[in-house]
Amino acid sequence: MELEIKNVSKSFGKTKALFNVNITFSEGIYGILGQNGAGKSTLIHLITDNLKRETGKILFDGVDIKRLGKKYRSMVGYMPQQQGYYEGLTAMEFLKYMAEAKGIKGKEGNRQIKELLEIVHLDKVAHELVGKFSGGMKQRVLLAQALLGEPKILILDEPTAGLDPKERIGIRNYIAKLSKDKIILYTTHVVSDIETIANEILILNKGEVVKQGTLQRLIKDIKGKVIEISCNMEQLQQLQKQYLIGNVIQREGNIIYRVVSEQPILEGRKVSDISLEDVFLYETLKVHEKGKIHT
Amino acid sequence: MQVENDSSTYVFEKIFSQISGINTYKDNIEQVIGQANQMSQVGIFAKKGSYNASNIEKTKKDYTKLLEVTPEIVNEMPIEAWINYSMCQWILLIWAVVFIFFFMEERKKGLWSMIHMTREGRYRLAFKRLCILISGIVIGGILLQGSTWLLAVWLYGACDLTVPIVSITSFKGITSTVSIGTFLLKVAFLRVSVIVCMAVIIWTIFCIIRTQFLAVISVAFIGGVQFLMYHSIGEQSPMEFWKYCNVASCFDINTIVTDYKNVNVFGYAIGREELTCMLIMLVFIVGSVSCIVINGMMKPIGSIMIGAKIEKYLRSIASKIASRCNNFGIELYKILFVQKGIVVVIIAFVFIWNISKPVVYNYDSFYEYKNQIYSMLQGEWTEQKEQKLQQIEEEIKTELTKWTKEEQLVGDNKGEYDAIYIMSKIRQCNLKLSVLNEIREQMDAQKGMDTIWLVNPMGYHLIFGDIGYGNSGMSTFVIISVLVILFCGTMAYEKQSNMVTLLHVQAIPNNYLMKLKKKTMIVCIIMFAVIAYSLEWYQVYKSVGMNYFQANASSIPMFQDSLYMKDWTIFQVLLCIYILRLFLLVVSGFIMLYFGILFDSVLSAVTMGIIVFIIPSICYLLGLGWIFKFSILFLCDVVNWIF
Ligand SMILES: Nc1ncnc2c1ncn2[C@@H]1O[C@H](COP(=O)(O)OP(=O)(O)OP(=O)(O)O)[C@@H](O)[C@H]1O
Ligand SMILES: [Mg+2]
Repeated sequence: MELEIKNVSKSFGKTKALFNVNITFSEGIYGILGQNGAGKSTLIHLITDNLKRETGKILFDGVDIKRLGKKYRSMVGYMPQQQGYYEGLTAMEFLKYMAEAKGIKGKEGNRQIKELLEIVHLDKVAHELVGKFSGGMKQRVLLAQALLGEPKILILDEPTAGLDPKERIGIRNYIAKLSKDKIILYTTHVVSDIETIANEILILNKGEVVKQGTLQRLIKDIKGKVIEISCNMEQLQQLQKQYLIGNVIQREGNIIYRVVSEQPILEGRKVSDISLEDVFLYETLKVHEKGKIHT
Repeated sequence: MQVENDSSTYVFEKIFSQISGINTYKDNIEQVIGQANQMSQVGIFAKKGSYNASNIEKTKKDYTKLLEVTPEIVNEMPIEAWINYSMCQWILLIWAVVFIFFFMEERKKGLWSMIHMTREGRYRLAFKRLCILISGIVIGGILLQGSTWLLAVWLYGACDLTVPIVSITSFKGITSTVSIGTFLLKVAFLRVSVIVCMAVIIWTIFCIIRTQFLAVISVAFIGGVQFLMYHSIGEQSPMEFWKYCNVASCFDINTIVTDYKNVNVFGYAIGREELTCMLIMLVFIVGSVSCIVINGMMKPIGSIMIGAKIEKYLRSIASKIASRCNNFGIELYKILFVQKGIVVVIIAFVFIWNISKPVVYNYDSFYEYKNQIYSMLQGEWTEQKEQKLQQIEEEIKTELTKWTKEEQLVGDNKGEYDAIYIMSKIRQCNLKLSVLNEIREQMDAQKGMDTIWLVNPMGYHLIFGDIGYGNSGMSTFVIISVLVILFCGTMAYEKQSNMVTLLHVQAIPNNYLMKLKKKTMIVCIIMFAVIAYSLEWYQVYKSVGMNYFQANASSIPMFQDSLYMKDWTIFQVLLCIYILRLFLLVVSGFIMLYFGILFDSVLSAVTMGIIVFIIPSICYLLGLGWIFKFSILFLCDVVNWIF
């Protein structure tokens, strides 16, 4: 099973949302990281055929998804970034409606709905209006909807936005369990969400894929480029002017400024426990630094 | 539905006119055919292949067909009432629009792309929805038309449905040989089909245009243009085809089925009804296919920017205007545009425009005669007019004596006229005399005043008359309904969108919002009322004509019994009535605003408004028992309780 994205570009008027993207997805969990406006949702809209494609191909096992049509759609579960629901339907009714739309009929549909409602901890409020749910509960209804029909390809656009830590971890673990013989695409800008579960991580920046690989590889690539500098308040301001992005950490009364930089930095201490966040910052920083040189 | 006051006179009149219609049925047809034959001899009409020739040919054929059936005497009233009652279609249209709005709900962010991604979420879903839409309209149509038919039968009595439709002599343009039953079914079917087509068109427009507000404006624009084309293009003009190949024309089923009209379609004469049927079929097929295809193909995330650009442009204009306005202007903008009040208002105005069109002449066969007399004698009363009136009276009296004599001759088997014919003539004379009598009474009521006036009271009857006669209550009812929709929920809406708490936190006086709303509401009510009543007056004025507002109020029979207004002019009375109405509307507006404070959700506030204002008003309109004394509509019907 393989989902292949070939030379895909997309622009809205003058803004280039995606530029010449090439990725191949096979079984496993793919975390797609990127800043706001990086093009994550646009990529997903194209994969779900919710947006008109301009150039390039999206192939499932070698066949264009548009040619597969219904066959492709019945394999996909999709949870959009923006919450969409019928205010006047209860959770149960909404899921039933979606099950019908997905072509899952009768008892089988009911069985799945019941199971999923338990997984997302909504079985107790199954008969209450979705419109009256809290943001996180709505989010869980939408996740359950995506999981209906046991999809082979699961596309989740920021599934954990607005969830409390407990639900976030619960859902993350559930998704991790699902990953067997499934393609799961998972976009987020919350790094910790995918750090633990993603088999492979993609970093999108300004419409381009700037990095792709397993967590270990990404971390290895920036070894020695993460540095912690302890400083006082005045020095901190100086450093912040010098390095655009950095983390200010307060540790035992000291201020520690953690920066990622291409150029070697003499002051400070090289860090060994590099996290995905550092990788993410590094990749976006690269572009920033480039920009600085040009101007 | 209209009910004539003096029903016994009315029934007699009907029967007499029917009998004379039946007696002259064959002659009339032969006359039309004869005329057609004559015309086809004339050079310009005779040219083979021209539209005129084909029109004459068709007219001849249609009328010759009519000779096959013979009309019979039948109770025409339920049929007339049912055919002329066009409200059904409006209700059905609104019903269809409700469905479409439900379909559009998924267009909200997120939901659409989710459904679009499912297996059955494209063509299949669109097809299912089309089926739901059509069956909804069909069921609604059956219920509405069935119930109005029952109501008509209940009010006017049953009628034999197997008799040919040509027996209904008051519909002069029917060239159909079918029975009444078949005819009624056909009309019902046409009405429903037209609504189905319109619904399909509206749905398609809503699908194509992503921004709902723009879609509403487009639909309104197209509807407006079609309406103007239908009403402003003259017959026989070169544009005539567009007058009839038109949504507004197709919507007007009553006229289509009761008027004989051929339309020039590329040089061929085609009956208007056939043209309408063809249009309906065409639109239905093309419309259904296109809306299914559009629904299936269109991507939820828009990349075509034209609509977005227009919207952005309009929004920027709107927000520029809003930024210049004070809070009051913004409040108005919120009610009309953000809460989409403008749509409700426009629908209400179109509705008032349509129902205010008087249909009185269908029911009052002496309308023409009355009008003739009034247009001759109207104005300040003079010696000359008095003489003229006496002269007319004399003439009728002579005629009456003549016919009374003839009646005796018939009794002695010596007369040259038919007995029924004589009876109808005598009745006509008597009725004419009673019309003159009424005029005399109008004059007598003004005894002792400086000047005496004769004013045609028909228009006032239409506007203020008893419920069931003119449209008296209806326009006020529509205004009240609009107010309920716009203002009951508005405070609750602010609460729902957390504005109240927000303002509260920012140390803004508690009643600030309420004061603002009150101001806006008063302006809105004045605007609506002025426009709505102007529309009503214009429609009545156009068909009946209303003059001499400086005349004494007591020259109008319905204003005669007032104790206080003996010396007032008509203008003063009208001013008083409308100021009172306005006052009452504003008071009810205040009550509606307070509902929004009492309730937390828009829905329950509006429900409350419906229970308090609309339901009693409907009861009043239907003339149901004691409950109407509590209705705002009864209060607004000022004439009824002051005079
Ligand atoms: N329908 C649209 N019309 C116009 N521009 C759009 C549209 N959708 C996205 N864009 C633009 O495309 C770019 C990429 O947007 P996209 O939604 O893909 O970002 P994202 O990575 O999902 O961001 P976020 O993390 O905020 O969800 C943005 O600059 C955005 O303004
Ligand atoms: Mg996004």
